[in-house]
Amino acid sequence: MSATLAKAANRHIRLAQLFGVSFCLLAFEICLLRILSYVQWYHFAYLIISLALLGFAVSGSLMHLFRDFWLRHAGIVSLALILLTALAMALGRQALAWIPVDIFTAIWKPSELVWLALLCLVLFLPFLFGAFFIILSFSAAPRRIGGLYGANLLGSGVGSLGAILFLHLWHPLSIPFVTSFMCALVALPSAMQRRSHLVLVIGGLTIIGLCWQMPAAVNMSQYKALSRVLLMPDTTVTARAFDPYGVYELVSSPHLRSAAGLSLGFDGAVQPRPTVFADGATMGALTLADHADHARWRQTVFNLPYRVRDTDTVLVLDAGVGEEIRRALLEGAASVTAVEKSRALLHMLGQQPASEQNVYDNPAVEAVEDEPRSFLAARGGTYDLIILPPGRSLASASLGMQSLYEDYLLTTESFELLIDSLNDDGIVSISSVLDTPLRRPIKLFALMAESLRQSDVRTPGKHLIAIRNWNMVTFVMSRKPFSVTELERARAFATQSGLDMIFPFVAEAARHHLAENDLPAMLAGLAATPPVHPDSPFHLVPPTDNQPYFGHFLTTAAASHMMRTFGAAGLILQEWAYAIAGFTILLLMLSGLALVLLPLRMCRLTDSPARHLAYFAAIGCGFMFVEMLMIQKLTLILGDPVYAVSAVVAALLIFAGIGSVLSSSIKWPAIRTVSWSTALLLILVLLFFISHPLLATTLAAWPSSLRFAGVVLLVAFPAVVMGLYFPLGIRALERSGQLPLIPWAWGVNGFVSVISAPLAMLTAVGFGFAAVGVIGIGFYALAVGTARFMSPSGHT
Amino acid sequence: MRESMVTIQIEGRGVADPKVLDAMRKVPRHQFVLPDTIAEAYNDHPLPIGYGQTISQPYIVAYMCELARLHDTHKVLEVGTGSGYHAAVMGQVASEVYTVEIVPELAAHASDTITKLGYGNIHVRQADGYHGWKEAAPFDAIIVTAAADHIPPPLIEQLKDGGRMVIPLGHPFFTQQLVVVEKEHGQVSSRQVLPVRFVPLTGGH
Repeated sequence: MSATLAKAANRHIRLAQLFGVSFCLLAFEICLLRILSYVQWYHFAYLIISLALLGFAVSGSLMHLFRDFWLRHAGIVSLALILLTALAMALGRQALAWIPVDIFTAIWKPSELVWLALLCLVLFLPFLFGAFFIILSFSAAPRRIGGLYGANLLGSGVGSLGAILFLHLWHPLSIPFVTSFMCALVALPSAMQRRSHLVLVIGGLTIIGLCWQMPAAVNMSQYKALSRVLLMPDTTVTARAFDPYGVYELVSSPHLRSAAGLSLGFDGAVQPRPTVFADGATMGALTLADHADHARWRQTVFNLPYRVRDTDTVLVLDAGVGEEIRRALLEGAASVTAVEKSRALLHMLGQQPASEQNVYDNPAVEAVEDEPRSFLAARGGTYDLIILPPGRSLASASLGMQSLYEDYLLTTESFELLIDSLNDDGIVSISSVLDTPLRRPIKLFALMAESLRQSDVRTPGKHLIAIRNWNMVTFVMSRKPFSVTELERARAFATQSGLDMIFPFVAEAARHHLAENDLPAMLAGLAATPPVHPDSPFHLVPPTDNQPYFGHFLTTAAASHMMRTFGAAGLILQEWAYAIAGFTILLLMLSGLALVLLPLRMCRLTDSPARHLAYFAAIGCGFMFVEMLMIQKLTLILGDPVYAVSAVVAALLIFAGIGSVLSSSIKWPAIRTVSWSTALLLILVLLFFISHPLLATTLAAWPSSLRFAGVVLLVAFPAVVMGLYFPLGIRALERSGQLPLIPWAWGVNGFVSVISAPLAMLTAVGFGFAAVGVIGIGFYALAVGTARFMSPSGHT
Repeated sequence: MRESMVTIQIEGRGVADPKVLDAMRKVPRHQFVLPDTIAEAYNDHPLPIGYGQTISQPYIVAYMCELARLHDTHKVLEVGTGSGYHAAVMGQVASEVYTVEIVPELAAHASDTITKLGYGNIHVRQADGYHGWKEAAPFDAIIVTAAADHIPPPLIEQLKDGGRMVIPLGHPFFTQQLVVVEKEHGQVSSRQVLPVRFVPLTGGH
């Protein structure tokens, strides 16, 4: 009896450990993405996601190669793996300080890639050890796969939410120590039975605790704006805040001056201002209540909307540090609604000793903590002026950094919402840098013209004005046509301020000249009916919710031309996001082949694994593609991408975990279950897709807690179904006596997941999210076609 | 190596001002780079010099000098000394070069290099380049090597009537365009110029 109880207790400990390790791995992964966005750039995120998945894939190969040995020593190996996972997390955090990655110089000095490869290797280790523990647990008890896989998915799902909580509580650079410590604690229950094991765990905890207390200082890339600014004399970080959106640092310096959009004719003083940096990039400068600084606020391209119409009620989206709020108040707005999503940023601004600098404190300002698109859908309202601050396009202007970033504010659907949120005389203002090659202003103008057309405006050209200075352009879009008087006012403002009007009139004596392209003529063509699209090799089609990639400009024609004109280095620097995504895919393909498929291929298998391979590959791809589709659709409902991704991933994994547990109690033959599951999944995804526009509109108006509940409910049913496939496949292998194939199935499933993540993203960029959904279901259909090995007669 | 750099990278791309070409031939670029990049000093790309800064591609240095239309009677201001190489090249063409660097370590290092090489007409100051160099103003040409989001009004004020200011834009490792600011009869205008190999992108490809 006591032996049975002990066995049951061990089972529960194993389930708890699977849950714990999975929790720590996912929380570590998400926090690592944040850390790399902070010290390097956002695009390294793809690399981390893929490294994590590769760890899972490689663990399958390792398990398969020495399966008998691992299973014979499963107890001590499991303990060692949990401890190694914990220690590798702490090591990975310290390695960020010790390994000098400088990716820009690698463009001319490929030897620098060695450092990147070394860092990748170190960051790969926790995922390898953690995943190895998971597959060892599966292989040791294949009959209990439903519960074990369920604990794994549940742990990962809760870990996704835990990461968000951690990012509120700790600076991202501290979190790897938290997950590391927690992971080492997970090893404790199974170490209690032997003193030597306990000593090992306590030793591990001590090492991690010491690292936590003495963290190695991680240096931000020297090419980030904050790094360079901090080299200036008398320049210091005076306040710091963080949340899942980023790390915000307020820097005071007598040398920091900002005056984007300023006319070259301005001859006054530009005062130094404390400046906020978000993840090391310039976010904006605090606004001064000092009247000496006010003159320059009136001589910028951003003042155009105030010269054209009366603007009593103003809505500022993505208000950030509040520069556009200050401008609206200086221009006489009676009320300003400012939408800013980061509570940490607002809190930091509110804590400034010179409280008059915090423009959000002004009684005419209503601060709303929300994401802009979500605010427009849920609350809307009618405004005289809606401003999308230039920061939005400025941030994405350099280096193609935002090429693969989903931006739901810059889509035709979003702009229709903007137009609907205007009163009859209302206008929208948005600015862009004049980039080289010229792309962003053209796409922005095309987006506005197309949105007007979709709002039943027949002649968009009568609703648009554009002026520019030496490096920026501001567009103003009106719900009703501009009158001749208003256009003259705009022209007079441009002339008096040393700016050039470029649409609908062209300045008679232009002060500023572009080296390439005839921008006014292009704008005129885009505003014409029917529109005349510029003869450009770039992708300038207005983004939609289905393809929400405003920063996506690269086509094969453009890439080929840029390669010829800028050279390889120039192309890489200009289209950085594509370069990193391409590099990641290549790295993963090669390492996946070398570390997963080749070792498996070298093993002698009694049966041909082709059909099994196809099944586990198909469900791996299908899961990732459907997950990407759900994240995209539900981000539009939840509004906020950071929380939406965490919520959807958590709900998907938790309910897939429940599906996995439920799979044990399904009495149908496996092949029949797989067939009916796929049919059900097809119906659920179709329903999800068809009902999404209605759901998005309905749910958007609900409070966020109800929206969250609604999203969880939407994810729950497909996720439960998606959780059935893997344990059904594993159980079929077990029943047919093909136990050696279990790690192999895990490895293949992991390997295709590695490749699927970037492929699904590239599919969305090229063909839209509808295509991602269709391909995802297609993979599940393929799984049905390959599931014959599950039936007794289908054994190969 | 220097001769080949001038012939292939600079003359080959259309920089024709003999004074500028002569200056590029004379200034030992390898003296301005970090010890571990000396072997690459004359290569056709920028190089890191620490502190998040770079020494520009040789062609860009020459092209900016040509755009500034330097003359041997000119007084030139450079904002952002960096390694001091650009100032050294301008010093070969212009009468006096005033260069300002805000990072103390870079200013000290550039000053040492310039003194060691005996360039007596180059004056280095560690200061905020935003204010220019009021005591030495006005300038016939101003080169701004690190562009902010606006062109500092004091620099426009210190630019002589008829003078030219040249500003490179783009990533530190990749100059995509140059902006030439001109002042004529008190009116300020700007003109975007693309480095010659970056031909305009047009359709039909």
